[in-house]
Amino acid sequence: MMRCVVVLAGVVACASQLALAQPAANAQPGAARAAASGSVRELLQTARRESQDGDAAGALESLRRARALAPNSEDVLSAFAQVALSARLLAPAIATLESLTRMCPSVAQYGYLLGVALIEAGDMPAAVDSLEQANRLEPDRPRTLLALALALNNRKQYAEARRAALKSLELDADNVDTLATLAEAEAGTGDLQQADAHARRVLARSPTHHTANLVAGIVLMQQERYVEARDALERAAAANPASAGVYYQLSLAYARLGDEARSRQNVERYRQTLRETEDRIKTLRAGTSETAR
Amino acid sequence: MMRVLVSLVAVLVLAAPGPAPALLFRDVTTQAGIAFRHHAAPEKKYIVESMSGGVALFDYDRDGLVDIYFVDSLTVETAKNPAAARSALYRNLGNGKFEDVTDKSGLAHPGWGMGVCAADVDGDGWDDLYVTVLGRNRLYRNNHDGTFTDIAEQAGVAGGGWSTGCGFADYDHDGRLDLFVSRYVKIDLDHLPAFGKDKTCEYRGVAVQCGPRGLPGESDFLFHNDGNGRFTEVSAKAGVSDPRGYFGLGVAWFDYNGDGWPDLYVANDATPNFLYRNNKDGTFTDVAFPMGVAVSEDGAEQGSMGVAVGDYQNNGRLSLFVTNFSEEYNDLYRHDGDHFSDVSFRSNTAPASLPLVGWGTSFFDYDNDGLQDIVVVNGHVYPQLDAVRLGGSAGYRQRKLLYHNRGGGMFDEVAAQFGRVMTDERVGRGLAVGDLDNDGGLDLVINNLDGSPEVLHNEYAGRGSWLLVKLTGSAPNTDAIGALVTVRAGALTATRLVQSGTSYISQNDMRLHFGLGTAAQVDSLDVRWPDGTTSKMTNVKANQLVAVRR
Repeated sequence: MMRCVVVLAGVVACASQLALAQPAANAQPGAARAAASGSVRELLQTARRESQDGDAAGALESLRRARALAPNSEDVLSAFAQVALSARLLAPAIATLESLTRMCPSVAQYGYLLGVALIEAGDMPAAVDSLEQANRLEPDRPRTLLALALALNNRKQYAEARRAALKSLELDADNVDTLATLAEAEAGTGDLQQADAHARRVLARSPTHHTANLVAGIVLMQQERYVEARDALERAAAANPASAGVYYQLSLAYARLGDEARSRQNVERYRQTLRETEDRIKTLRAGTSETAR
Repeated sequence: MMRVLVSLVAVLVLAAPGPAPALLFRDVTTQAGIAFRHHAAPEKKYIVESMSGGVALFDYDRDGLVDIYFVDSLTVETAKNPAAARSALYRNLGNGKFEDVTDKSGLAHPGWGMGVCAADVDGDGWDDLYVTVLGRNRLYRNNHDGTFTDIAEQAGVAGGGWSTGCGFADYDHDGRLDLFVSRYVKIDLDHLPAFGKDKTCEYRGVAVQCGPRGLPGESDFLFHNDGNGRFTEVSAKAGVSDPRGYFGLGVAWFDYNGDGWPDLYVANDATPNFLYRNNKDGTFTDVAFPMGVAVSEDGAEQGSMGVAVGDYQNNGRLSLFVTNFSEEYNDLYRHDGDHFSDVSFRSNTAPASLPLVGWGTSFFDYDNDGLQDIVVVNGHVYPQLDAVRLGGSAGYRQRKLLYHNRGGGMFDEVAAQFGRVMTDERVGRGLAVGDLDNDGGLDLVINNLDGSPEVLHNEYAGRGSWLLVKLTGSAPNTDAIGALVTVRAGALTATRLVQSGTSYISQNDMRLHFGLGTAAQVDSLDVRWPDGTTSKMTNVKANQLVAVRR
């Protein structure tokens, strides 16, 4: 899951750049959209200013007040969800986006945002469902396809992830995150040559890229080039210190290099990061469902 | 008229049945006279009602035919009445029929039964049976007359708590078989966590049984065989007690590093697995992480259930196959000499397993082509899933997986080619593999949770030649548990290990089966006995059962 975070941070940032309080372009008019009263409009404008000034807490407070006045307003809910998502307040963001996808089932953007929020919350099966729905509604959005590929990689559905990443690259060939996601999918399916080539293309442009370094490290491990693998994995860890999977791979690299102390050290970092991630997800899911396993 | 005819022909063509699936296994359960039924509460409101039970193939009466023992379980409702569950021993009559000899045997009511493993514990040449339960485990001594006596308490191996997997091996080379018992979750039947009580007892928003996460785990037991009919519990001293209380299930003793001393793998649910390296001084060191067999390739802790050990590469190295919870994947850990590599996706074994919850598993060569294939029985733990199909997970009842080894380290999942016997959905748990009729084809016996078992007879027409090897070691380890046999036949080299336990809390036929492809004979057969000594046979004719004595 943590492997996705860096990439998703970019996606979320992009999502937050959507014009606050602008309803989705193809939103259906009707009962779902409440007419904004004068004070609601003012609150939305205030929230927009606060958001632009980086005051997420203030923006959310303004939007909560707007929701109290117009609880079923798509404009208000949409703005609230986007600000909550940008502020990584995932439980309220998810709850709001779920309402929006029910209210406006033909708006791809809400499905996309919900998918991104669910990835962040670690609920990959639900994220895949939501992103697939968004992709059906609006098939050629590279961002949706990238998020879908990320979620599918996380679920180890590498063949499907590869297809989504390739489609996304057709539409946005320069996106290094998509290329790195493709490399991850290829490594998953065992196509090490392609994975290596794509990871290297990313690294040529972005030498510290977390996913590309991780994929390069995994490929090098499989090629038994442990020194190079260790170095790539150390770069991946530096790029995203919250990735438990990288520490696990590092523990293997050091073990195979005969450095038992560093191997053990990385197992401990792995365990600690894993626990921290689990705790974070538990907190994020406070208002949502959780699995017993 | 012509148009009508054309339409009719089209309809007939469309309606014509496709080619019948090839026959691999025939379900002979009923015709063999197997009437056992496993019991569990239908709603599975508590985790303790989801995890049973094992099955054992062992020749209790030494007539040369493997017999079957199914483990049954109680429910929360019947917990105080051991007679409510009836485990069953079936004697193999040799004509495709089995006789229920449970009542005479004294094996009917071990309690809340979970798993089973076999071994000649007292070295008298007759296989005894160890049954793990929720409560006090049973060590059934074979009385040589079709009856058994529970001696667990006096032997000091009754344990307690919730035991699951078990396996015997001589870990300290004193000639006597010691016993490892994995344990799962601390459970108090009088204070069970209420079904769906909070967020930790939900699965994707659906109320389900609680656990294992959120419940306290149990430690594990290693019992040293003192040789006087008594065992001493040495878990902590040996370093295998699992003080963190991981959720232990499948157990496999095997010598992974080829130093002649048995090491131990423990499959843990929802926590990292253990690989205990034998330090040759009565202690072990967990090396699962550095060896690459603790977690998945991307570092995820998995819900591991069953474990199989096999030389699927025909290079003498014993690899591991571990079954896991749904939306994880079953791990194929390839033995690469000084470490293992998770090759689950590269070998093509992982993708088909993603929607399924895997339990019993074994390497076995179903077509006798000389390459070990893999079988997995599956079934979820939450019957509530059938009301709401969720995500990528299959329903409560699930099909089997059959991986055909096509060489070069690659597998194809071929269950669907062999018809309903493989694709019908059950709630599989224990699985044991063996040759029930000594015809050289490996058969399967499956214990399905809360249902009828399956006895699947191998009737594959394209089977190659074969050799079945029955080892007799020197007492007290008369089954030669821990022995390795390597056969060479032309270009084929294959290695098999005698094991007690493995799969999901079950016992395979301890005789060693070799598929030989087109070979008419084995050029050489080498035995490495548990004490390190060796035996050799040459020019052994194929298609026979060979007995080798130490």
